Amino acid sequence: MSVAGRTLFTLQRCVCMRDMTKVAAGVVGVKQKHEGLVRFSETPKALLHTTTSSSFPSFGTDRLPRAQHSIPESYEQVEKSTAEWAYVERLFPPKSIPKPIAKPGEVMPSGWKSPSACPGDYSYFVHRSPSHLYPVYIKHTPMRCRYITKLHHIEGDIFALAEDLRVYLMAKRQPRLINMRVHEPHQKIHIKGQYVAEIREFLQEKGF
Amino acid sequence: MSLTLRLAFYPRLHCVVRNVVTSCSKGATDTVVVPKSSGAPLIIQDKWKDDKGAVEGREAWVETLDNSTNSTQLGLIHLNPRIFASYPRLDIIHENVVWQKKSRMVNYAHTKHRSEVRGGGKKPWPQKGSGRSRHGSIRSPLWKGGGIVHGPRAFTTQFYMLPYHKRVRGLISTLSAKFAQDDIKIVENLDMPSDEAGYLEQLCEDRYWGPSVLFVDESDIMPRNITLATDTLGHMNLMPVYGLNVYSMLKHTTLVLTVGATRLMEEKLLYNLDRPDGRSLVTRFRK
Repeated sequence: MSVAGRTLFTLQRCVCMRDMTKVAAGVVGVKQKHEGLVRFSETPKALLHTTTSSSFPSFGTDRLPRAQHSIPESYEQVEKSTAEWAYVERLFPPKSIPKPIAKPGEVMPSGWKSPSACPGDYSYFVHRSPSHLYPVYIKHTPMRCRYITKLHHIEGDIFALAEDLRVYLMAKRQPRLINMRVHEPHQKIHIKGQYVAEIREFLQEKGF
Repeated sequence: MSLTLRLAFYPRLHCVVRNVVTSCSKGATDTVVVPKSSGAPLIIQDKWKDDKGAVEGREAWVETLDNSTNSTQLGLIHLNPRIFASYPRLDIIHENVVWQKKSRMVNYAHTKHRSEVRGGGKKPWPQKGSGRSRHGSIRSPLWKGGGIVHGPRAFTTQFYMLPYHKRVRGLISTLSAKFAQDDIKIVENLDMPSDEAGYLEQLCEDRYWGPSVLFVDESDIMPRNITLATDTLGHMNLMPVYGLNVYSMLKHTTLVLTVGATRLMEEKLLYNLDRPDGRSLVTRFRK
C-alpha cells in the first residue's frame, strides 16, 4: 500500500474511533447498550464513517469489519473488595532480611554458621550485619598497596577484643608486626593488611 | 604518647554488656512499678524480633503532664537499645547539624562582572601606536576597579542532601546521647488540665525540665490545652514525629516524647536500619 493509502486508512480509523466514543458515551442518543463487540450491521448507518468528499480514494477499506468497543454494563458499578489484597501483599519485598531458622552454632551446607555466643560469654560482643554475615570488611583502592581490614558492630570492651585479636593473629600468621587501630569513637577496629579470613575464623571460634 | 579517648570511663556512654541472658528486658517483670492508685502496674514492653546485640534494653518512667494526680509517674516503658542505647556517633551528629543549617543557607555575597561594572564600554586607546598594551575596556578583570571573573554571585544556595543512612544514624545517635544525659522524658500523652502557659512553665520548673523543651507527639494535631499553653512560649515547642530532626533535638534541652511517638519512632528507625533496599536510597543523590 502506498504512503498516501496508509495515511488515508489511519484517518478513516481515527474518524471511526471518534464516532465510536460517541456511541459508548451515549451522546448521540443511541439507547441500546452493546456488550463487547458491536456487529457491523447493528450500528446505525448515520454513525458509520462515510467519506462525503470524493477527494480521498477508497481502497476497499470501508467493507473491512471494524471492532467497535463499548464499555460493558458490569464495569460501570464499582465494588470495593479487600479479599484479594493478600495476593498483592505477598508480592511485596520483605522489609528486612529474615533471620535464618537455625539452631545456635549450626553450620549450613553453604558454610554459613549460626551465631551461638551469649552476651555474657566475653566482655565484648560482635553482632552480625543486617544480612546475618560477619562484619569484616576490607578497604582497598585499586593499584594502591594499602589494605585495611575493618571489624564493625563491636559492643562492650573494644580494647579487650583488640588484644585477643592481636594474640590470635600473631599466632596464626606470625607477622613481624600487627598494626592495629582501635577506633573508639566509631567502635571499630582497623588492622593494616589483609586479615579478613583470619578474623572471620576468629569470630566463628568465639561463636559470634 | 598517643592520646586515647577513654570514653569507656563515662558510664553513660559505655554500652553495658548483659552478664546474664535471663535478665533481658523482654521478659523481665521483676522490676514492677506499683502506682499509688490501685490497679495493674503500667509496664509498656515491646518484643523486638531481631535482638542481635548484647546491649541492655533501656527503661524509662512514663509520666503525665497532669499535676492533679497522686503521682506524676504512671509506669515504665522499655526502650529499644538499638535506638536509645547505641554508641553515639558524634561526627555524624555534627554532619547532620551542618547539613540542616547549610540546606537553608543562601549566600548573599556578590561581585560584579566586567559587564556589570559601570563604564568600560569604550576602547581606552587605539590598538596600535600608543606604545601601551592593548585593551578593549577599562573594566576588564586585568584592570584595577574592573570586574571579578569567578567571584561570589548573590543568592547562591548551599543546599545538598546528606546520605540517607547518615541522617538515620544522626537521629539514632542524638536520641541515644540525649537519653544517656537524662534529657528524654516519656509521657503518656500531651493532655493537660489547664491551657495556661504559666501552668506548663511551673510544671517544667518543678521537674527540672531544661530551659527549652520540645514536645513530640505522633500526629500533627495536638491537644487544645498544650497548643494554647505553648503558643506564646518560644522556648517550648510542639512537633510531630515526622518533623523530628537532629538540630531541633540539640537546640532544646529536654525532649518530651509521648508513648505513641516513641513506638512510632522506634518502628521507623529500626526498619531503616535493616532495610535490604538501602542501595537504592544512596544512588538517588549521586552526582
